[in-house]
Amino acid sequence: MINLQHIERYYRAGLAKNWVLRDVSIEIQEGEFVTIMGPSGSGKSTLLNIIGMLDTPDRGGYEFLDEPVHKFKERRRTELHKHYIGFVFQAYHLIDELTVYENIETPLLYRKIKGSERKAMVANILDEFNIVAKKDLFPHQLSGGQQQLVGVARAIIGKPKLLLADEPTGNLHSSQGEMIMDLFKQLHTDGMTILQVTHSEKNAKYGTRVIEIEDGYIRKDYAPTDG
Amino acid sequence: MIWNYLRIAYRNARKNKVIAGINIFGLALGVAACMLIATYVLHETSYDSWVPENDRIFRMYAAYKQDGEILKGTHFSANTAITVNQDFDEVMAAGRFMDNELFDGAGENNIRWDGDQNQHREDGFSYADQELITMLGVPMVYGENATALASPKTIVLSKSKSEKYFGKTNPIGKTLYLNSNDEDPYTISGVMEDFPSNSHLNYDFLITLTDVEFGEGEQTRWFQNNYFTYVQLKPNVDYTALEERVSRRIVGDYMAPAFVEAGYQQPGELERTLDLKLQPLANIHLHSGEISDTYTRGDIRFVWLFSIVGGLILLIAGINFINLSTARSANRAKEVGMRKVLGSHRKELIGQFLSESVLITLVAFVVGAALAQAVLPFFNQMVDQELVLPLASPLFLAVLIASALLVGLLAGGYPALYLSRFKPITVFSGGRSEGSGSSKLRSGLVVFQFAISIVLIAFTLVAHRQFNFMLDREVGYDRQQVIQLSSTDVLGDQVTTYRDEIQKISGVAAASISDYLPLSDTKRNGNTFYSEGKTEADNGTAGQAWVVDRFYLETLGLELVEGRNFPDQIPEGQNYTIVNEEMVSKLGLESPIGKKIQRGDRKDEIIGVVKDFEYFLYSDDKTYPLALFPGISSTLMSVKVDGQNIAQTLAALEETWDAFGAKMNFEYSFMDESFAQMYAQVERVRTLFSGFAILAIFIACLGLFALSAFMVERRQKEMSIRKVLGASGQNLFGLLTRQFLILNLIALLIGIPIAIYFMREWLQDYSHRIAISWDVFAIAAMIGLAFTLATISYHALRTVFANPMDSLRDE
Ligand SMILES: Nc1ncnc2c1ncn2[C@@H]1O[C@H](COP(=O)(O)OP(=O)(O)OP(=O)(O)O)[C@@H](O)[C@H]1O
Ligand SMILES: [Mg+2]
Repeated sequence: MINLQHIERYYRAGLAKNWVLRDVSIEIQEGEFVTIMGPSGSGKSTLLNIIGMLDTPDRGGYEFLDEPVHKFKERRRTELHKHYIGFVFQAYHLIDELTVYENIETPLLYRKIKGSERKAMVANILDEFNIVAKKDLFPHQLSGGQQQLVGVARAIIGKPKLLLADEPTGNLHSSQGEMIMDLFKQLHTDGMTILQVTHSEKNAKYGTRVIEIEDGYIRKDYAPTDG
Repeated sequence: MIWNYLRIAYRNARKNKVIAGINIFGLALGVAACMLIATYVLHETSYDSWVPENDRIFRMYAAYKQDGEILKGTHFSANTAITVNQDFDEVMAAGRFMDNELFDGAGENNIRWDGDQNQHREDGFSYADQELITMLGVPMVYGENATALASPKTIVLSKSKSEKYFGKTNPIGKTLYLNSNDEDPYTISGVMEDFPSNSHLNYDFLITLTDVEFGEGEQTRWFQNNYFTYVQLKPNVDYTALEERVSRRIVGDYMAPAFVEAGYQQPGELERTLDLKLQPLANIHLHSGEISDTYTRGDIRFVWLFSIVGGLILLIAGINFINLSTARSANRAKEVGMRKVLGSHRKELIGQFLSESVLITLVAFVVGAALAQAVLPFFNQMVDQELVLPLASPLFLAVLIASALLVGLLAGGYPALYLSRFKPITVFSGGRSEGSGSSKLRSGLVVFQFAISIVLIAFTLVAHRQFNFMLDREVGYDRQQVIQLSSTDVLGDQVTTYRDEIQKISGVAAASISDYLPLSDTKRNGNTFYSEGKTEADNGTAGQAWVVDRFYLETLGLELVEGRNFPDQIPEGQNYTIVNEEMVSKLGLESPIGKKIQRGDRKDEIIGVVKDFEYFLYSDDKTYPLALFPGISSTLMSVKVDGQNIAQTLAALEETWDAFGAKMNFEYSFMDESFAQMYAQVERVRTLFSGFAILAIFIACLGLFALSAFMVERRQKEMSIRKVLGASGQNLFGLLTRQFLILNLIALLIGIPIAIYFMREWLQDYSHRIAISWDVFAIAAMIGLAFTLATISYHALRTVFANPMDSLRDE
């Protein structure tokens, strides 16, 4: 499904280059549940953004579903975002002007899902995440953890084939975190491909594969030992 | 402290170059337009203020009630001025002008100076009383204001005419002959300064009225009305009370008995229908719309129109300023929050924001003044004036700086108060940093701007159509391919021979001699007509008596609806006339052919009725009663040519002219152009109005452009998230523009009724007017929407095509 070959990504700082990703090659099959780990600043988010086609590598090749991504037109990318890929951002990125309910509903609007069905889906997920009471609040009226929950709910409501989750439980307390991880596991069993970034060994064990990254290099790539 | 404010203000302006630029440029445009309009309005309203005692000087006018209408005229008999002066203590002096071209010497003349062989054509002659130039305090270059016109046969010239013929030398004592009348010389007795541009008078030659009498008894008769009459009152006289007494005395004791005695009127009739009034000198220019004095005056409605447009332009520019500042406030919320945390007081913040706004305003005013100065020549050409911006006048500068400060404080005031009220916590918690209050205010102001723009667009369209309609409509005669030859009177007795000769030229269809033409500024008169035998009970009707030849109808394409044209030879002892339909209906004539109409002692038999045509008696374009009489009135000749080879025909006309040995150059004009010329003022107003309307819309667009930049910038992150969630380009574009389009629609709903109201009012003043059709609004709406879309698209599209990561990677 995802095939990265010798990906490089750097930022210019004056004349010098600040390398974020160096010679990254990864292949991910449909149905995998991959955890990306590494110290802060090692390039995890950058990698996820490249995979999610929000960022473009400076060098190297990227094939998504056996098609070279750099040849994608805007339209194709929009299609993929609409129907195929779900995002959980490290910084949540909720829309400030919309309520919790409206934030979660937005991806369904772009998928042109009918009103009654949409309502049912949003109601379900609000219930599942235990945030029904917050549905009419605006993001700035929520705690960080609550915002994160909304972000996760928004990402999975459309049942994407590929879920890209950047520290989805970073701000949650442990029982909430477990709930999310159980949910991911369920989604994975139902056939969703998942890439998550996390600092937690425990969370990594929910997945089928761990990739460790440091200073932009892939250091390790292994299957977690089930605890 | 203030320097600190200004330094930060300057830095901020540099940081937001585009926005500051738009703010300054938009406001500067508004200021420039306002300055030009203000200069124009001040000039229009300053008429005759140069006359030293203008508040005590009045022009007399007569208000006749006729057929339910009130006709106002300014022509009086010669003895009116003299009698008013004698009979009323309150009247200090009275004086007259007489510029009726019917009388030799007034209007246009061929002149020759003693010692010069050549004739010259000059316009702007009027007869005048010595009392008048004294009263008006006309400044003199040579000669004495108090005595220049006292002696018979004297003439005073304007400075520019004096310089034209005599250079810098004093011409007093020189002799002048009018219209080759060498037995009747005039002597130059003074040179006056040209009448200033803000004078309702514009004569270049004043001939004394001392000892002048135009025909036997003319100076003492009460019903020969050719004189403009001015009176100067003693100090502290209530003129409204006086005018009533004047009216009662002059009409009741002098005019009415004279009219009854002459058999023109029943006893008591005139007293009921005629009032005499006094018009303050300063009102003559702008408030003479209904008073017919044969001159095109200014129009208070135009002054209002332009004042309003000027105000609107400044308002639109000011709204831009407020909108941009409050919009920017959202982006500066963090700065304000930080400053507060760092211990800045609210007062200091207000000071900071106000000084920023005042600084920008001051710069805009300076740029605006420079702009106004730069386009002044162009503007002058448009308004046909020689206006000067009073940039050197301290008062003007003071007003300018004061208004800059005021605009700056007003425009900066709301954002300053609003921004300084931010609570740091709401800013930092990353919430909806913008109070909905300010965005509501902004939406309201944008709607207001849109509505003004819609009204202006619709108005411009309607004005355009109305003007075209006026120029193209049927007026009852055919002005195409008609050429007027001027000064044909120099041909003397030969004029008819010349006419007959040129009719033989192959390109000439017809030629007619007559000074009376359906164009303004050609000869007119005033007469009262009665139908024969009904004189006793009948008031008659006011009408024109025109002297024309038998080719007149054919040359102007006038249509006879009944009867026949004048014959080749009028049989001995017969008086024939052709009247228009209006005359027939006003006199209530049943079958008019063969009936006689009477004016004074004359009786004329109607041999034809001509279809009504417009002939521009007053500033309106209604048709009034008219009677044509056979004869020769020889200053102007009209030639109908075929459209084939006009240049060749003109050459032939000129050749014939020269062959007749005329002592003047061959001069001609095209009738359709003269017709368009009559609407020159309307045309000017239309052009100016369209210009200012476009400017207003442009300034509104400028503001919208900058505003959309802010709105879009503020929603950048939201758009990026939506993009990631699968929104297409159209989705995003729709989201970004929808808000403005909704505002636009609201504005349309508000603007259209206002536009309809004003257009109705405006069109009311035109007797021939178009109907307001719905497509005006459709077009105005389309233009409005198109401009809005085009303006906001730039920023919207930039956002749509932006890389979402650019705005999401902020953590
Ligand atoms: N726009 C940018 N300009 C310059 N450098 C950047 C930019 N975005 C990211 N970086 C740098 O790239 C590096 C990797 O960033 P990235 O966000 O991928 O790290 P991360 O592994 O997700 O860290 P964390 O665990 O803290 O989220 C960092 O050193 C960061 O400073
Ligand atoms: Mg990260």
